[in-house]
Amino acid sequence: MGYLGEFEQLILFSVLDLGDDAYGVSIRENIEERTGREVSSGAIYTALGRLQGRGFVSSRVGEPTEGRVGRPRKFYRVEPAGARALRSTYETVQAMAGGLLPKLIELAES
Amino acid sequence: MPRRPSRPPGILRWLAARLVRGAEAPYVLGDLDEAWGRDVGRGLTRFRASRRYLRNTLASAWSLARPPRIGVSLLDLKLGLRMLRRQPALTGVAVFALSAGIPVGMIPIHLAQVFSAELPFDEGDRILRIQTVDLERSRAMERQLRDYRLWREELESFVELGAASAETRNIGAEEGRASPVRGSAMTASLFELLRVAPHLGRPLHEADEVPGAPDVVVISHDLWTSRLAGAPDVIGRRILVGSVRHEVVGVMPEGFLFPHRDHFWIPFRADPLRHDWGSGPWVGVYGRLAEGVTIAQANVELNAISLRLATEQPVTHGSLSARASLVAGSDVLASPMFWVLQSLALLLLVIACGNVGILILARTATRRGEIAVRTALGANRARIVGQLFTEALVLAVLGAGFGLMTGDFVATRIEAALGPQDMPFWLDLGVTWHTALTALGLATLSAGVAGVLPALKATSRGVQGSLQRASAGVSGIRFGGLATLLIVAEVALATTFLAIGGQIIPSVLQDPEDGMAIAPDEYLTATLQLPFGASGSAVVEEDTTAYRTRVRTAQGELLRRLSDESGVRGVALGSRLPGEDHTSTVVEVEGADEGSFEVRIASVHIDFFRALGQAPVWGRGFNRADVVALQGDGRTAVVVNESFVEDALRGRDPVGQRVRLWVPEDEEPRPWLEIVGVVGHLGMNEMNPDRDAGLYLPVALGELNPVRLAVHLGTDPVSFIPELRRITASVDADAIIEDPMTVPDLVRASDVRVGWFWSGVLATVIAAVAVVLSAAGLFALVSFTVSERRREIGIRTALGAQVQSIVTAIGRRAFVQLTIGVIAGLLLRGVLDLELSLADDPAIHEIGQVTLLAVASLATIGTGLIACLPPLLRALRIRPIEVLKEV
Repeated sequence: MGYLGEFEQLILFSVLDLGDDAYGVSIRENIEERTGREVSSGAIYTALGRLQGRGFVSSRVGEPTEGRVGRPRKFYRVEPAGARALRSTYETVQAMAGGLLPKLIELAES
Repeated sequence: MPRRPSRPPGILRWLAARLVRGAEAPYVLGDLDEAWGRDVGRGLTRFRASRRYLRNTLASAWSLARPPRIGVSLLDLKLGLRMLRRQPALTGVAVFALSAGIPVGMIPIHLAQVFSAELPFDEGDRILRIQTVDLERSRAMERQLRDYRLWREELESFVELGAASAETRNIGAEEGRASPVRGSAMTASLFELLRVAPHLGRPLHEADEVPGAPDVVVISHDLWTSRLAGAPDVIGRRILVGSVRHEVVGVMPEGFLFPHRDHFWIPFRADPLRHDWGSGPWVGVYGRLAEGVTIAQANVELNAISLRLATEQPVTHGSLSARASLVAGSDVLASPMFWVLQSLALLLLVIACGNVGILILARTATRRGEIAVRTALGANRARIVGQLFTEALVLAVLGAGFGLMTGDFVATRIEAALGPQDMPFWLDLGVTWHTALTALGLATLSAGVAGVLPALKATSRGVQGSLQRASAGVSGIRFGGLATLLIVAEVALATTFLAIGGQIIPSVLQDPEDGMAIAPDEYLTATLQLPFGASGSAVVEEDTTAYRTRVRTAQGELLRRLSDESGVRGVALGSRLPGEDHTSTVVEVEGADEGSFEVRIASVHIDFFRALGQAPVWGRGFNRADVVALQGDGRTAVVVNESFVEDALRGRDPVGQRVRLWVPEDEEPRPWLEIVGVVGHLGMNEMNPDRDAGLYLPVALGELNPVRLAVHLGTDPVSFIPELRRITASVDADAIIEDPMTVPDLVRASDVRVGWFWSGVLATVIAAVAVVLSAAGLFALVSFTVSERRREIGIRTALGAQVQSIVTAIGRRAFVQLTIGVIAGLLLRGVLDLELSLADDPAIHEIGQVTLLAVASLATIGTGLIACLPPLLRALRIRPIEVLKEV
């Protein structure tokens, strides 16, 4: 089971959410909509390259489209190993955070 | 007609295409375009969409441009070592370039480390030297005995102050082998403040400084082991220091040679009150800072005293100011000049690395197949870059190793050339672990520049691209403008420095004994000196007249005793001897149209020419009457040499002509001197006997001290050295014989010759490095061209192209670079010549400039063409049938 950084978790959740339509632009918009954070396409591909190297995602190249001036899309899919790593990381955070949320909110707003 | 989808502005797309690189670039660029379209579709203005596009472009470029994590493995190391063997030419050139570049890159930081070394004593960084500086003349004032007394009484910034005065004395004259040893008269307080315990016995005490106290001496560990055989019972033994017996009371530990490179210390007995302000012996003053006091605070206190003294003693101290500074451990790193020099040195290293990078890039182009296969087998970019980095690192480490060895050798030579007495004892120019680690760091940096950058360039287009290009027989690598600039600059430097070296080297290689009228091998030369205040121990003042009489008596007696020795044919005394550096002066010839001439000058004893076996070729030599005239009305007679007659008198009858010395600062013209005789070439210009016009002035015995001495012996002059020392010591035990050597050794040790020798070596090394690097660059360029255009050459050959047209097509770029480089080099030589004026220097032999420049140009062009030859021949051997099969 590998460690996942915060940005890698965001990407994996996003790819999971988008299903067959997970590629650079859609992942970027998905993260921006859900988190309000602006991320660059380059950073997304760098992280995806790393995740692919660890076997957490796989990719396929789509057909060129006119809106991309003939350049193809590269679609990603979460692999079982990636799903296990993401679940483990998420559960770890949940286990640690259990019951602490009110305290956290109180402290943060004090 | 369907509407063309809207696109981001062309300039932004152009910028993005240049900034976003790497394997994922096509997808990122596609995403950028699509995102822009979506933003506009969502109602954003084109301006805001463009701004988001630009922001995304820059952030993406930054993310993708992060250097890949380089994967280095043992396998890469093995491949790198195998590459050394398989490509010896590349290895040789790369190691040569880096072994020159790495030492150059580290010279400033190495020297900074050397000179920041603190005194190796307890809290050595709190020991300061106090110097009085004449602000008007910008020079140190060493006669500060009275000042020392005042400082010692008043300064509160220092725990203690001490003084030392340099003393050179014969040690061991009783054994008949007295030779001068450098030492100091040193105060007991100075021993105390240095906090160094003696190895044996005790240091000097204040009681030793009282006039009439027993004469005692503390000696160095080196003197103890070399002269006294390390005798354990040395304490209490009495040895001759000059003419006075001293009791050895202490032996200092090994390595203690304070203040400079001293080997004995006698009590400091100079009484400040016996001297006026600004007079007395030269004294070095040292102090240890008090607890909590900074150097700046000490200087504030010193400055206040200086200002007060300037008022109280306006004649001697009106423009003087005292300053305290560290004896050792100057903070070189704080100096902006250091960083300028270090940056320049690193730039030179980067140039050398750039060259190695060109070679590696050219080789990478020929290895496109191997790289493509490794890529296809799953090696990612980092893996390939790692392999090329390791190969470059192997070359760089080898280069650093050779560079360190060269550096250590050069440091040893420099230390030897400076003379051990000129280097403070706590400094060591040689290679240390610190230096080796710095070299290793620079080797890694070099491997980064020379290996990683070409590797990144060669692998920038991803897996697909490299496989496609490998199958097409091209690498996709380009030799950019930087490589061209580098090659042209090196060709230019090669031409320039070959011409400069070609002008200097013949003068250095010229046999200095050529053209000298004496037989140099038959003479033993030395310096004879009778130190002022030598009789009695330590700094005890003598009557100046008595001292002069003593010098005159000693010189006369030594002349007589030496002349009586069997085998001695003559003894010459003068300010300069044949074959050594003579000072230059300007003379005016009465009635001459040309005005003034620069000539060599020497002051010589009246028997000088006779002792050297030189009968005047015209007129007469000096006689006793000339010296009588000298003591009465001043100098009237001079003897000139044959070159003087040719150059300054234009061959006129010299005897009876009048000349006078011309010194710009003189308010009144100097008296006229009458030429009474002419002698042959006695080596007044040891570098260039053809330009040795000079004149000799007569001096009386005792007038020169120190004086240079030449003993004419016939055979084996060196064997006479012990005898010379023995006789000198028996004439006056305080008289010192320094640097005894033969005339050929004297000539070789000449500062001017050594200076020109190193200038010649430097010019030759720069020329050699530039020639090799430019040749390697041209080789790499042509080799690369052949490799990239292999198919084209095959097809051309198949179509019946002539050899000449193929050679022109392949070599054109190299030939153009070579030509531009040579022209630039000749221009640079012209500009440098205006600065250096080598041809006007009297040390340099005349050489035809056109021939010199032609030879330098032809040598550079010839080497360049030879370097292009192997790849050109490879191009001509390409068989069309084989190439066509590959298509």
